[in-house]
Amino acid sequence: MCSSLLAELLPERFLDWWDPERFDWSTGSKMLIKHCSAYFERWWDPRRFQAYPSSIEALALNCAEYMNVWLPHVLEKDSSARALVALVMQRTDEVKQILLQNTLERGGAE
Amino acid sequence: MKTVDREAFVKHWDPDKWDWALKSDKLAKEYSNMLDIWWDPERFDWSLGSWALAEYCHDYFDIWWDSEKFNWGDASNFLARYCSKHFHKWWDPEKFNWEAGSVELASHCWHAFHGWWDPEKFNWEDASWALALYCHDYFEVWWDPEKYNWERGSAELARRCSRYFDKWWDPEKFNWRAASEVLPSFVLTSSRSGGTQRSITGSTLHVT
Repeated sequence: MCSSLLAELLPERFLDWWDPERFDWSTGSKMLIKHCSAYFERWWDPRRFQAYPSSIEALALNCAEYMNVWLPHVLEKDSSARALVALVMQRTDEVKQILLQNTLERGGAE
Repeated sequence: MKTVDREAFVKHWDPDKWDWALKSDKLAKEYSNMLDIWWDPERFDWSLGSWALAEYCHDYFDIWWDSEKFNWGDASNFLARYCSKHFHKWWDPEKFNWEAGSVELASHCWHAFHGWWDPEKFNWEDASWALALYCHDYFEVWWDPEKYNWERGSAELARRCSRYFDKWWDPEKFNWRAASEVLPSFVLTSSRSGGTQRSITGSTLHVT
């Protein structure tokens, strides 16, 4: 819990407190992803990352620009994520259609 | 507090028939608004009912307060918790039970911090977290990395003392893996309060 608080409340001091050996990955991963995404390259460690659904969701929402780094590891670790991604990949055209439809309904504004 | 009108109370009240030794606390608890009628400092059983005076009769503090008679051993924490606005009237560092009441000093008498702070008497083991949580404005006065209980108080440092991060941060001492978000529990006990034990966990009062 205290690891989680460091990530949540002291992200601007990340470089001062970060210690991958001491950090409690089991309780702090989600806050790390959510609040310290600017330091993704410093903290990302596929061996320690806990692939919970909430963590994967946080990665997708906060660290999308690093998807090429984390997605292969997530797919390797989590079967439900693998199934979800496979489904989206199979239906890419359908997803694009839905997005386009939503955009048009909003008057074409991105 | 019982809803008995004053007229009825005056009519039926007989101090000679009241069992002061067993029911002093009941008077304070249930008839606090009649205190001016029943109050008798010589008959009142202070060892039994001091806690109830502090908790239920704090509005009449000036009437009943007696530093010599008050049961400091069992009720210091109640005094700090419920009579904090009268702090300067009752404060006595030699009589106050620091072991049982340090949490309440920090959590309810933070406004009088400079009046009570004593690093030698303060219960660092049980109440460090309360300093960080409630007395963070005085961080630079009380901070002592050797006395601070890091095991129970790391979360509060992160939560409330982030502006002093450079002063307290110590990766060796910080409790990276504290398991619970529940604040450390402490117990308020009045040993002769009719078998009633009051415990406070975090900010929730449980009466068992």
